[in-house]
Amino acid sequence: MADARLASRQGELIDRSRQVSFTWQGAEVSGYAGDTIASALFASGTRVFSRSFKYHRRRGLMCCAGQCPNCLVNVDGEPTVRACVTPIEQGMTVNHLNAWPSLNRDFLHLVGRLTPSFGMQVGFYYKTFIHPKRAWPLYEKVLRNAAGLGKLDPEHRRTDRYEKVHRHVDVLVIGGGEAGLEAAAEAAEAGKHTALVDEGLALGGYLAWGGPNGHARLDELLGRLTSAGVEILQPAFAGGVYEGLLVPVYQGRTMHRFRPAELVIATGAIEQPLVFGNNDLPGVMLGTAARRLVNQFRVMPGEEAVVVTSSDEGFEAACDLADGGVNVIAVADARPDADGSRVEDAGIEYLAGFQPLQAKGSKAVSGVVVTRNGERRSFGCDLLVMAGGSVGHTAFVTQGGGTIRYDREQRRYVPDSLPKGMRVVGSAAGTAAAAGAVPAKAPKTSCKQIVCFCEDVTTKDIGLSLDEGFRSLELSKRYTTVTMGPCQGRMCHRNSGLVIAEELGLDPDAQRVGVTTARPPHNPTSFSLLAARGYEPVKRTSTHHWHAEHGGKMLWAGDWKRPYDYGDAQSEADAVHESLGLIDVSTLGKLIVRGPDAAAFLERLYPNRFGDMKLARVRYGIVCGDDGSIIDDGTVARLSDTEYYVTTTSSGAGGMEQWFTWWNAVWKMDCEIVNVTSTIAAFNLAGPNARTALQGLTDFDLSNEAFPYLGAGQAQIAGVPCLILRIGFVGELGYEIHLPSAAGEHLWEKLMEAGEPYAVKPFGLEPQRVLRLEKMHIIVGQDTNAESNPLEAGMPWIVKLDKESDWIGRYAIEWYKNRGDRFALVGWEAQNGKVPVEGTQVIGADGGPAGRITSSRFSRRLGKAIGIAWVPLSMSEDGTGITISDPSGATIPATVTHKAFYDPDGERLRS
Amino acid sequence: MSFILTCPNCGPRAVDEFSYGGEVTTRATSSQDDRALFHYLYFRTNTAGDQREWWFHSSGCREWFQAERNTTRNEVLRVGRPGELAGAEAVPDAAAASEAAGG
Amino acid sequence: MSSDPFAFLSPAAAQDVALRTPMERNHRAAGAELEDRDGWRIAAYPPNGSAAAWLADLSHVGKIDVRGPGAKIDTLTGGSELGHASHVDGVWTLRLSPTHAVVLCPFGRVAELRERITSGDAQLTVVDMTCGWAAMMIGGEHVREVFMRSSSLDVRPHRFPPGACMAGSVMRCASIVLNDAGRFWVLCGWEFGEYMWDALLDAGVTLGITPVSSAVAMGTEVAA
Repeated sequence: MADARLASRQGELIDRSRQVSFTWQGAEVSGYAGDTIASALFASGTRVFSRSFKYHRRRGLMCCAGQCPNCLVNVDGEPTVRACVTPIEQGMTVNHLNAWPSLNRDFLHLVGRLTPSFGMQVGFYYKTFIHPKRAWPLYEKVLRNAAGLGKLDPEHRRTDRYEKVHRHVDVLVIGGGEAGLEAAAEAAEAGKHTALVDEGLALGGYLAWGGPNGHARLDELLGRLTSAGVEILQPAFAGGVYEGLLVPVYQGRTMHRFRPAELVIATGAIEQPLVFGNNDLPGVMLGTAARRLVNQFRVMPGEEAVVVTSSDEGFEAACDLADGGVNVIAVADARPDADGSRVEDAGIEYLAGFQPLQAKGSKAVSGVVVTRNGERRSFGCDLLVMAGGSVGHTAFVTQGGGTIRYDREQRRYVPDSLPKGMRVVGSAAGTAAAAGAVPAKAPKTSCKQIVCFCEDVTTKDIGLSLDEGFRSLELSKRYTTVTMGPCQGRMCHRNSGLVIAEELGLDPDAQRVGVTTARPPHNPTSFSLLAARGYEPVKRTSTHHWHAEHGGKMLWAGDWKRPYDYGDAQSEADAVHESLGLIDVSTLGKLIVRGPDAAAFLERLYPNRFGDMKLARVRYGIVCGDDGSIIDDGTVARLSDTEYYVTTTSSGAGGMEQWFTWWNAVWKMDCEIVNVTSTIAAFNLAGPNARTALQGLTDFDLSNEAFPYLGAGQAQIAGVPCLILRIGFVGELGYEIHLPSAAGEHLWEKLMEAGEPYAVKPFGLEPQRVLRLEKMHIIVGQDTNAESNPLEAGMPWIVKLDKESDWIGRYAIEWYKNRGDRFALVGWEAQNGKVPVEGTQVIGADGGPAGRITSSRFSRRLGKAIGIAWVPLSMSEDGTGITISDPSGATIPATVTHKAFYDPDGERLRS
Repeated sequence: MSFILTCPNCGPRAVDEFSYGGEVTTRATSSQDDRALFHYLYFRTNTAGDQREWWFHSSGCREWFQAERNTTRNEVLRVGRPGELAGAEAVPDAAAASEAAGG
Repeated sequence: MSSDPFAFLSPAAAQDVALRTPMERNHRAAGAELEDRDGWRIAAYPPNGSAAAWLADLSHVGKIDVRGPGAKIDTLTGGSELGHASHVDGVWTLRLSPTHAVVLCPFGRVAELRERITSGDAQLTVVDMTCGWAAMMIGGEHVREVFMRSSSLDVRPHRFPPGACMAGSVMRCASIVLNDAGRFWVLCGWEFGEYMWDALLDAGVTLGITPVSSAVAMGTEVAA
């Protein structure tokens, strides 16, 4: 269709010298640079932009300001783009969201025409589609297809880069209307770093769209903005206001996370629709929308118009549209006593006290019926302008922590209290002018009267919800979904409150109805913008790439990537038992505790004793919470009188640093805690040949006499300064070597070389788990949980209740000791060759669950399935037969054992 | 939660730089009084109003401090290094502590 | 036991060892040559780095963590206020809390400086953290834009002028940031080095960021 534009005029946004073409449902459409998708389509003849959410009713442009759901479209694969605030771009592909097969012929429309008993009235999910039960899958398929706005293509992969930028400014102004521009200019002129965000294509608000009168003032303000250096983000929108005045601003493919010192809300007011029959027909438009089309895009919104209003804004609209060339036939004013002379002076018929009954027409507006006390007047028209008064845009005030109150004079909500740093200016803050009463809805009509355009909620739906007992705005909202759509109530907050007040016989001005909460996101927002560049921090040890390059299967282990195995967990475990293995344990937490009070500090933090430790020795310790539960374990090496080196579990590293520093902050003892987890790489060289292999790389005497089990010594190994701890998590002679990270890969390679004659194998986490299980060494967090105390966990020897000093966990553990044990952590061997699943249950005498399997593996070395379990005390004796459940329904008989499965006397460790 | 918390060392930062340490409590020092011990270990006042609590600047200086926060408005009234805010003996919140240590 | 109980934290004590930074594989993949210098394998990039934005690996710089009573830290930092760093003879001393400072120095000077700072004072805990933090430097005209895509820390010029330092979250990692004559040092855990390097390069990709040699970075002083 040919582009029909009005003659060029000052204030228009379009650049007629630059044509831009795009496709709309497969057909090429062209507009001008400066057009929105909506204005270009409207100019080329499009009147139906979408189908409604539930009934698939035709919807045309209503607000032209990004406030209503009527023009949501799909642009280049992205659903729910607001056509009325999105500039056109050459070659963009625009499609409708939810019609089938097309916008003009949508069979899903039939859903709304079905008889009420099978229709989609409120609560239909719970009422209509429950019988017969087996038919639900079919209903669901149909309903899912019909409901919703747009579809996501699960195969779609984003190719565009989305950006996230953190911004600090002194002042952020949301809204580029007159008040926002003034506030921004003032702030910037006072030397404050100021940014302004506006979602329209032109700054100025009504100065820009309200006709030629505002242009001089707008030019003045824009001039001040430029010379004061205000940063302008436009078109862009604030997605919400979060605590601490955090404001995400979306501009194109960028999310700006603003943290302004001061936030100015200048979001203005939003013109409201009126509620009457067929008030959603294409051609029914807000006054501000029609004026935007005429004044900014130079498009005729219609040939012949009727204005229905309840405020003076209707007069403004009528005069401005008439001035722009629209033939305005009549203005029907719901107020009986307003002064309509201004309209009459413009030669327009003025009907005082008339409210709209219904719009006429099937596919578009062809007329309107207005009524006053039963008297009716009919008009033919192709544009029906609604001017239902406006409400302040206060969503950001409440989101940011402020409150609003109902102002009876203005008949709208205004800001009441504001959070620190927030200011509200302009009409969002309220106007001084008193407002007339607005009719809640039309007198009885058989047509649908839409209250919520997003969710297709009618006056009848709200009435029904109240009849069914949901007798408040909040309850009705949850039942009917009124105000819950993409516009978050901007088009229906006011009207839903009025309808409910009327139904319940309440005075709408007495504030007894309340208002629902408008939550973020303020506008439809793509997940790509929310995700932008994702950060997923990953910890890598100094030998990460060596593992990956040598067949290590790198898996997430907490924040780390660690090798699960190098392809053959069994033979890796065998290598440790029979000759030599090497594992990277750099992920262990490592802390230095240093100072005159270091020993006393550790004595207060652990159930163990450390003050009596000899120098150059290492000891196993557990850490308990004050509730007596085991929260971590590891080793403590004494390096000097005042210096200890502590290792923690890998997953507990960060938590233990916090735990240690926390108690030190409380006790203020004379010692320092330094976390050296990052600084130090650590490898465990283990197996019968560990000594011989390692001795070749160092002058340090590794003989059993000079460096026995639980020794700690410093040495140069292959030129690298190391701390060697002789400990044995995996049950064989072993040396845990700690060294500077930067030398990690070097030493690893040297150790592998030195182990070559002994067929050394690197081993991963899985073989380590089998090896430690053979020794019945627990893993904190797997074999223990928040209820595990060291007495029941089989470590009473660690708990020194006779220590003179107080220590963390002492009183709870004393309490447990007085109470007596109820459960025990024991080892078990399966008797039928089956391997129980970890987490499965131990079955009690009554057939119910009595205990829990925490670790379970098949040990090739031992030729049987072994594990650890929590069992009640009655089942915990060495040699007790227990029954383990299996997900298959079968059971697995097993025998309780207290001694380690492998090398129970630790001879190999100490050799 | 996106409020701003002022670290006594590093200044105002987004709250996601910190770990929460729970209410400031008074430690029970006996196993004889069940009620007092359990109260310390498992009961919290869960104040709707001004509350003294522990925070750890985990992404920053990695030091502990205390804050007084209005829990209904998430407004931080004042902060101080341990011992700087006058009040009862301040020890870690046993329940929150175990959680922090476990993670 | 050796006379220094924490000798195993000091890479400088290594003999005939080529020390490696966490980003060695990244440098190789980007075509940099690795040169042996001062005991380290250091990446040498072709000398045509971008003036708009660049990133350099400075992980081989010496780093020392100092903790102790406030008065002694005052002496060490020359009374610097929190969040400020002093720069004397090529040594940066960053004041992070009343009782905590971090020293950045040429790698060859770590042992001597540890000795000098401690000078027999048992109340000071002086730990060699050279391998504790991966260090990198962002520079160029768009240094702040790169940083704003990486962190919510406020680095506006009046808030974070040359000589300012802070500990905070960069790319969701606990980090230390220092403004060195308009170039930003970012120190993060050694284990995060590779991640941080990739993440910063990605943050700057639309700003034309390129990796450069450490020598180029250290030699480039730009207007603050």
